Amino acid sequence: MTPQEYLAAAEAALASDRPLEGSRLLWLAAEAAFVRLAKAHKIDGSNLHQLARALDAKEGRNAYYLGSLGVATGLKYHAQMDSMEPYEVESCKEMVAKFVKDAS
Amino acid sequence: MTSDRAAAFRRRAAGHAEIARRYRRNADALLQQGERESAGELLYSAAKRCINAVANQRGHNPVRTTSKLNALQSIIADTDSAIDLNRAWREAVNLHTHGDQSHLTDDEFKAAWEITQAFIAVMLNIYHREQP
Repeated sequence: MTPQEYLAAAEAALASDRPLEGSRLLWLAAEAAFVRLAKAHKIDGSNLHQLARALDAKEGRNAYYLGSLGVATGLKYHAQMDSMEPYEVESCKEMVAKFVKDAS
Repeated sequence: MTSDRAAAFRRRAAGHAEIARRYRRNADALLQQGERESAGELLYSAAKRCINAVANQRGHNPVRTTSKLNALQSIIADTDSAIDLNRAWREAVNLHTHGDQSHLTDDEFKAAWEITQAFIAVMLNIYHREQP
């Protein structure tokens, strides 16, 4: 699946009141976007943190990619541990959606 | 707002900023001792105090977490920050959850720690810049 397809599936899951599944899919959308960025920039994508740091350095951005990975990481664990409030998921969804669109 | 009330908020803001700095120092010391969970939890608390410091100085008094987040959105809306404060705040929350769950990998913890430190630095800078 592409990052956009994961994102659409996540939004459908959240809209049908499946927040944990939606969060898992948002993580997958971000992960897929990072993999796509790694290929586009010809950077090793096997370690997402190293990749995010390399992208920030390459584009002169102050932890935009690393912070986006952090947001997605929070969602990944929320899907496993049910650790976020609904308003937090909504806020994170907006950040992941923007990241996926920017990465496309 | 009356001048008395504004002065009271400013005093409270100064207290929050001082506590944020102390929490950050203590968090750094705890991390040096290998107490990652406690260190992360304390750094999260420092980040939260920073929101209160800036908000109080601006005449607001966010008490609940949702109010603090609204205050943060207001700060973001009219501040030109070097980092994305929304994303940085989520890393602070990741540290908070880690204090309870000990779930972050080394890479995840390191990133969350660095970005939360940046969040605190930026927020304290805003606090100082806006002091009357």
